[in-house]
Amino acid sequence: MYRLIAHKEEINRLLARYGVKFGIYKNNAFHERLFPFDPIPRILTKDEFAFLERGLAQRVRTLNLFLNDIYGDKAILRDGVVPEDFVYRSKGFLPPCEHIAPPGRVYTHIAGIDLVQGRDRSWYVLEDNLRIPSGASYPMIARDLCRRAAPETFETNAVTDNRDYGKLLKRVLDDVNTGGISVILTPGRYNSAFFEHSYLAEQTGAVFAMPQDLFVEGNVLYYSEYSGERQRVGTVYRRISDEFLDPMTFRPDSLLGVPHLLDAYRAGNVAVVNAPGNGVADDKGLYYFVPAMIRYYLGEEPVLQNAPTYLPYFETDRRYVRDHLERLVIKDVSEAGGYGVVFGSELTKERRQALWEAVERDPRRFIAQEVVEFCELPVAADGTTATRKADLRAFVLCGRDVTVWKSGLTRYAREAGSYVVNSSQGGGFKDTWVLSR
Amino acid sequence: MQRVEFSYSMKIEFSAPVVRHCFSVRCLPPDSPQQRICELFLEVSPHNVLTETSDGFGNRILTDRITEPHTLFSVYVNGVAELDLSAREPEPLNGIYKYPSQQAFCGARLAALAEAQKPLCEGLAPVETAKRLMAALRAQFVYKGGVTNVATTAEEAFTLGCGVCQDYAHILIALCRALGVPARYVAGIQEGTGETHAWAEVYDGGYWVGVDPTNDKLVDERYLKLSHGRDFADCGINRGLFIGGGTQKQTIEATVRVL
Repeated sequence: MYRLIAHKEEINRLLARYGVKFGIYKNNAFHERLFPFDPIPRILTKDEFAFLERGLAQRVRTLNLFLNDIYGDKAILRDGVVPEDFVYRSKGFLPPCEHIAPPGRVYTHIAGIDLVQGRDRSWYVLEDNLRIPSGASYPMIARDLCRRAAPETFETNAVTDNRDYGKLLKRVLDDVNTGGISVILTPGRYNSAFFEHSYLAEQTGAVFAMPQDLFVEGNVLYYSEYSGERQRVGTVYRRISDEFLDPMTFRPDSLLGVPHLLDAYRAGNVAVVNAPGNGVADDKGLYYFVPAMIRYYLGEEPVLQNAPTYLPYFETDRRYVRDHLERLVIKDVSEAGGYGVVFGSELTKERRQALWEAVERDPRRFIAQEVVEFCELPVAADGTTATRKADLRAFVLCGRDVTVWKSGLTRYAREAGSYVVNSSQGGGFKDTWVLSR
Repeated sequence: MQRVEFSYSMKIEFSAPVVRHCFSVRCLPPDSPQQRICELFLEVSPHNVLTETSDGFGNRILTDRITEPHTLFSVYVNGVAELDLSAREPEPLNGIYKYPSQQAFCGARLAALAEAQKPLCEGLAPVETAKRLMAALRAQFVYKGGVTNVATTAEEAFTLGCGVCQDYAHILIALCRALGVPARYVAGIQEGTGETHAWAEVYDGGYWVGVDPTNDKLVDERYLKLSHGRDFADCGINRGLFIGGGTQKQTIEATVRVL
């Protein structure tokens, strides 16, 4: 596999040419960046992956049950497994989505679960992403380029082909389809993942649509063709966030949405992928309760563990956080993308005190975690190798069945020693190999 | 029991034609034991092909999309209802009404008022708490049109010290929730005003009880309910979106008349 290092520049050049970019908003201005690719793959053995697969499927199945419950009966609140504060105060909980039965009862069609591996080789889930997790296209296209650059690498290593993601995704879109075509709805080219939207449309054969191509009439979603003909839409894989999705229900000033889409969805006439309202289940505060949810809904012990987490909301945890602030990482539950993450060890005494006061003022807004000493992976650097901390975003697809994609997006930190691997913070990515034997 | 005739008429005139006009109108009164709808007539212009559906709060909505150019949009609803507050049935509480919402939440000023009222409400039933809070709010708030708008929050209105029925309702709801009394927003029509109205409902012992802070009283059998939600943003009577139009002039008339 080290043969790939020689092709690093060439592959990065091709990625740039194909437009494999992501955009970030900084100070309200849109910047487009290349996503640096490191050719040394992360390798998961067959057994290791089988373990992850079991744990990830269990976790996502549970989160899907939770969403069905929370927008319906709310048994889990009645039974006191999750305090209602963590649902009703969550920004991601959307009452306009109550009592909707999504086609096939699927909410979490595409889940991106972020994991890290500790120095002791054990895996921890850091975050669940159930809204519009992006990133699957990067390892797909990178694998394709690597195979072209160094085909012999894939003859001598037993690597599972990951180029089936499009097929898996198509199967999900078909499974929940209520009759009609499938479309991928992009907000447009100034979205940070526009490249991915177009690539996935190409890979699944779904129609690539802009908001103005879609309309709802009589509670049915249609795609208007160039010719003026209309086609009924049975599945919309929307890459537009909930708040902008339907200006008749959510933000009235949204120009990216499709008016009345939520009505069509409520009527059962279209599947919306992922379901609106999923934000309540991937809230950083709710994360704490996922192991308890697995026991509650499935009666099983969790296969995968959370990173050790404390909720200042609970008094005993709050005291622990106060006494150990200097070694914990504090996360603001309302932020995403690596923002609002503070390491106690990096703060001056005064700033640590200020942080503690903020936590005390509004404990529900924060979680605290032990810093997981995650293992580092080699990266190619100027003819030699260095190491960087890296995480793994695994993709779990739910249609009629739950499938874990045999690959994933490995992101590594830009700086040596840094724990922040988010692409919006300047990190890079690797391919993830799952060995077939 | 009170038999009433009600009507709701909304007209928007556009100075230039509009197209791709989408609307959601929550103007069909819900049918419940307390509010039996006996007759209902509906007319929408430019055309009457409508979809009736419901939202996540249980309201009835009329939706449509008018593609052809038009300069007038109108909705007319008329009917007869039997209002009977004694015919109530217990309802389960949805927890969303216990928590602050987009427009009905306490900022610093309202939180201070709630805090000051807390000891005075100790031990009171939810409806009595709401009445006490209504009095406290009315001591610091006066009715004045044109100073607030549909997007004004409870805290903003309270800071101004004046506003309309929507603001009264939002403030009372925010205060009730701060003292642990579940509360929701109601849009409807009150007898004799000729306009649409808004008030609050508080949850007391398994039932929702209407409280009208604008008029300093509990809701009686002369109020017709159209929709409810956490606040105005959830259940405003008319929501629309269109392209074009220049300026628009909206006329609304709403009546409840005792028969």
